[in-house]
Amino acid sequence: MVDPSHKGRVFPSYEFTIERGKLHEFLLAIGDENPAYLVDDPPLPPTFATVFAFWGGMNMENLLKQIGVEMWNVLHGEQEYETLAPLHIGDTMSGTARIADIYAKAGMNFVEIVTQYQNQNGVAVLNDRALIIVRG
Amino acid sequence: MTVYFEDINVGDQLPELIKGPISDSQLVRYSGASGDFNPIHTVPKVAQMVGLDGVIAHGMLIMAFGGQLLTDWAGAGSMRQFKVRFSGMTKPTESLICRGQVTEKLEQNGEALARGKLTIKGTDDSLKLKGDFTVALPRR
Repeated sequence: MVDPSHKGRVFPSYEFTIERGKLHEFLLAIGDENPAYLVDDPPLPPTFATVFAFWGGMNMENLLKQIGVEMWNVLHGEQEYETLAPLHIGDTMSGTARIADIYAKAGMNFVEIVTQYQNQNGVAVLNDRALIIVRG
Repeated sequence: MTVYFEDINVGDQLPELIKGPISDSQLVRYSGASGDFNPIHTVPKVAQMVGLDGVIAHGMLIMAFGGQLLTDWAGAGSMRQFKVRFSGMTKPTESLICRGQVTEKLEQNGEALARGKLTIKGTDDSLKLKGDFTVALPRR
């Protein structure tokens, strides 16, 4: 059982600056050849924010450890992104993750992690919501 | 080809997107690109240790294919909201079929929006994920 008292907990912010090379690497990896991404000020692919978390140092493993959950024991149940404002290459994202909910259903525990991203001007640009299933 | 808000209708199917076959090296590539180095996606020995019969694809790679389904249709940068529920694992050599459908047209905050739902399935019809989305479309 995941201790529900962790609900509402906020984790230290992390930063990631959007780089053109990282965008191209991501597009190659997913096999997306849309020429709209090759212009000077391109938009970003819908799931590019995955890069912010992993390369920005969010460290999901460490976050889960702090609420008593081991990485090997979890499944990624759901993922949601919500775009609030345009993102650009060169922008620095500041991400703050919080435990939005913890609940049990059908013998499993669920942890909802919501990460809000702001750009370097303090404008809210993106919401990231992950639902983690803890087995056993 | 640009899709305009005026030209779409509730019930319209998005052009189907076929991705794959997924290769081991694509999983290595996606690990580096995304920064998700969980070895169950790249190291067969580790995958076997946790009871799998080989490496499995990152769920977020499959969601990225869904993202491409949306942007191939509505345009890059059109995504406003995109949510999926992961259902099944995907292994190297599998090909995937991404399908979507428009469920609602609306205008909000000065933008013309289309809402819809999507699925990604294997060629054996096994469900990998399903979800919903909102995209902004240009007006004529």
